[in-house]
Amino acid sequence: MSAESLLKDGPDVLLSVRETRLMVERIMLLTGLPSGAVHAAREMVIAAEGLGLKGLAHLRDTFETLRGMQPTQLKLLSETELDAQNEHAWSVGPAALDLAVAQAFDTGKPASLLLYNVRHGEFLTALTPLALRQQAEVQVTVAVTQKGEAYRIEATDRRGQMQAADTVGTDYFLAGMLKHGFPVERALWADIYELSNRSLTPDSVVSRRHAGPIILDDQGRIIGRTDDDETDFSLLTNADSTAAA
Amino acid sequence: MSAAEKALPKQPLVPLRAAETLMRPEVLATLQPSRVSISRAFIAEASRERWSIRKLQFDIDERAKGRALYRIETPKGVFDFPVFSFEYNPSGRTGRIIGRSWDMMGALVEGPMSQADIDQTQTELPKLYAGRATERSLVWARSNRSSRAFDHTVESLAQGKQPDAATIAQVCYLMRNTGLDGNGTFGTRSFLTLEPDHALRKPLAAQMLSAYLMREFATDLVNCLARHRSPKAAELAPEYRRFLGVGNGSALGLILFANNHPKLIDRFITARETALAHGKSLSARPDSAEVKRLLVLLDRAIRFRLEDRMVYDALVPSSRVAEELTALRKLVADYAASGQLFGSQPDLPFVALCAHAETSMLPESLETLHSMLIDLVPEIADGLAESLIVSEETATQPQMKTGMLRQILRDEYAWCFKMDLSTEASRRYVWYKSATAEEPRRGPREEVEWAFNLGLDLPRLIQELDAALAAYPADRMLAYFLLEQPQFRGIVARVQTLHGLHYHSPHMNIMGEEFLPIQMVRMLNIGLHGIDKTRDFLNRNLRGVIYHGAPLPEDLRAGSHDDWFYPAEPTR
Repeated sequence: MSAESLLKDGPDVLLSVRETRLMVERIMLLTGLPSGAVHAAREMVIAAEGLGLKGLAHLRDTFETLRGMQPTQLKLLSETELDAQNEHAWSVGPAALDLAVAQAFDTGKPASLLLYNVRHGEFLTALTPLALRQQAEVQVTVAVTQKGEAYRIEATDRRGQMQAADTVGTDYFLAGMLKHGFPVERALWADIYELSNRSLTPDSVVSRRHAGPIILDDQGRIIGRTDDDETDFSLLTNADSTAAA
Repeated sequence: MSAAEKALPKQPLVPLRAAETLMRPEVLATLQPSRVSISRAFIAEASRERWSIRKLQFDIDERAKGRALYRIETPKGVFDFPVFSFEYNPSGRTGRIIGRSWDMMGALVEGPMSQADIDQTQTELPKLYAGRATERSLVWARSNRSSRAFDHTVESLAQGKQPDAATIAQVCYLMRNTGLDGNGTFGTRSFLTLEPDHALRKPLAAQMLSAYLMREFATDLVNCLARHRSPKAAELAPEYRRFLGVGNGSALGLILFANNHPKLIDRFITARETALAHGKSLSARPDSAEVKRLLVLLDRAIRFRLEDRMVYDALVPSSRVAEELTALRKLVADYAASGQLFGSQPDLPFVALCAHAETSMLPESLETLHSMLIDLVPEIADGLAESLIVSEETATQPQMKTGMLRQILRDEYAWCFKMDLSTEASRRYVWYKSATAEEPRRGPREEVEWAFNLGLDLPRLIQELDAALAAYPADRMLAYFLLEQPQFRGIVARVQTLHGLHYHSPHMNIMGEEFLPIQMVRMLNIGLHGIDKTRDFLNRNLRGVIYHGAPLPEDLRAGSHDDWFYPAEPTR
C-alpha cells in the first residue's frame, strides 16, 4: 500500500503505542543502528512523543541526518563526564541513563553525570520516564560548566518504592500512552508509515515461496498440499498482483 | 483472594518437568490441547458466566452480500460484532496474509455500537492497513469459506437434509479465519489498557471471541443461503453445529510472536506444567471419580482419533495414537478392576502411568494423557489459566556486574553453548517481512536480495555476548560494558528481564537449517491456542480447527457446557 492511499488530507489519527513502536523500530533499522540498540532508541522516540516533544515529526524531518548513528561514539571523560561527540540524543541517551542509574544504585546516593556535545539534547528529557522502568528517578537539566554547555543527568535510587518495569500496570507513563495513544496529523502518519515501509523486503516470485502452504515452482508445478486451499495462483506467479492488499 | 489463589491449595507432590527436556522444539511440538489452552479456557469462562450471544440483525441476500450484527452480553460488559458479508470471489483468494478477497469481515467492538460507528466500520474495514478502527474497537476479523464443506452444507440444507458427516468431517469447519488483528493494530484498543475487570482482559480473549463469532456467522450464513434456495430448506442441526468449528491457518508469524512474547510463553507452559503436576499428584484410588473420569476421557479420545479423517504429512497418524490410547485405557481399566498397576499398588498411579507412556509410547500419546490429567483438576487448571496476563516490557539492570551476567548465561542458557554456530548451515536463513501485506517469511540468505533480519538469533547472541563480556573484569558494572558495546543492549535487557524464569525461550536456532518452523507453529497452535486436527504443510504451515465440538450460544447461556473436547462425528 502506498502512502498516498492513507489520504494525507484526512482528519488527524490516533496512533496506538504498538503501531507507533513498530513504525519507529523499522525506521531505526533504516538508520543503520546496530539491531541490539534499536529497541532503546525506539523507546527514546516513543517517550519523546509521549512527553509532547514531537518525536515523530523530528524523526521524519531529520531522518537523513540520523543515518549512520553511532552510539559507540559516547566516550567516558571521567566517572561523571561523557562526551557524545555530536551524536544524537536518541543514540547515546540510553547508555548515559544506564551509567547514571548504575552509579546511583552502586553508591546508594544520587548520582550526577554531565553529557557534552550531544545533538538535539532536548530529547534527553525522555530519559525521565524511561528511568522509571529501572526504578530510578532521573532529572535532566542544562548546565553551563567550564568546558561549555552540557546536559546534567541526575539519578536517584527508587528501588523499594517502585515496582519493576515489566510488572503489568506499574509503568504509569507507558500506561498513559497506551490509554491515550498519540494523536498526530494524518500527513505525518502517512509519511512515517511510508518511511517505515522502506524497511520491508520487496516482493518477488522467489520470496513468495518463502511462506505459505504451497509453492508454485518455475514450471508452474505445485509443491505442497492443496487440500482445502483455494489459492488464486496468480498471487504466486506475479509479485505485483497484491500490491493493493 | 483471586480465583487462581483459591484454586491452588497446595504445591503438587511431583515436580514440574525440567526446561532442558521440555523446551526442546520437538517436545513442545507434541503438546496437545488442554483445559489451560486459550480457546478452551475462554469457553470455560463464557460457559461459567453464561454469556449471551444474540443475532440482532441478518440482512444477507442470495449471493451472500449483506450485513449482520451480533451482540455479546457478559457480566462484565457488552460487545457488538457487526459482520459485512461478500459474494464469493475466487480472484485474489488465498489463506495467506497476502490475500485480498474475503467472504466476510467483522469487528469486535465494545458496545452497544451506534449506527454511525457500524457504518464507519464498514467503510474502514476493507481498507485494512489504510483503515482506522472506531474508538472502542478490539479486533478486526476476516474469514473465507471452505468451499468444499460450505457448498455441500448449503446444498444439503436446501434439499431439506443435513450434510453428509463424512464430507464435513474432512474439513470440520465451514469458514476459516484469515486474520484477527487487535491490540493496537489499525487503531484498535491496546489490551493492556483494558480495565482489570474487563471481560476480554486475558491474552487473546478478544480474538477468541471473534473466532467464536465467525463460527456462529458461518452457521447462520449456510442456513440463510439454503433458505434463499428453497423455502423447505432444513436448518443445520445442533450436533452438526457443535461438531463444526472455525478453521485456522498459521505459519511463520507465530515464531516471531514467540520471540516477542517470552513471558507469555513462560506463563503458559508454567501453568500447563503446574496443572499437570497437580493431576499426576492425585492419589486416585481404583474406584475413585478421577479414574472413572479418565476412562471416559480415554474412550472419547480414542473414538475421536479413530474418526479423524485428516491426512497428515509429517505428523503422526491418528490411528497410531488411537492404538496407544487403547493400550493405556486397558491399563487404567485393569487398575480400576484390580487395584494393580504394573504389578503393584502405587501411591500415585498417574505418575506410574505417565512414566510408562513416556518410555513406550509416542510423545503425542503421552501428551494426550497429560492433557487428560489436567482435565482431572479443572478448578486448578482454570485458576492457572487466569495467570497469563503479562507485560513483555524489558529493561536493563545496569548496576549488575559482568561476572553476574555471565553466571546467569551459564546457568540459564547452557543449551546455547552446546550449539555449533560456526557453520554456514547454522546461519542459512533470514527472517523478514514482505513489502506486500507484511507477510512474515523465511528464506535462504542467497535467495533474498536484502532484508533486515527479524528473527531472534538467540543462541548466537548469547554466545557473542558471553565472549564480549569475557574481556571485561567480572566486577565491572554492565553500564560500562553497554557504553562501549551498545549492540548488546537488547539481549542484555532480555536476559536480565527473564532471569529466573524457566520456560520463556524454546531451545532452538531459528536461523539454522535444522530448525523446523512447524514445530513451533504446532506448539503455539495446538498447545497454546488449543486447536484440533491440525494438518501440516511444507513443514512451516498448519491448518486446524478452533472450537471443534464447542458449545453453542444456547449451551453457553445454559452454563455448565464446558466438557466438549474430543467430539464425535454427527450420526444423524
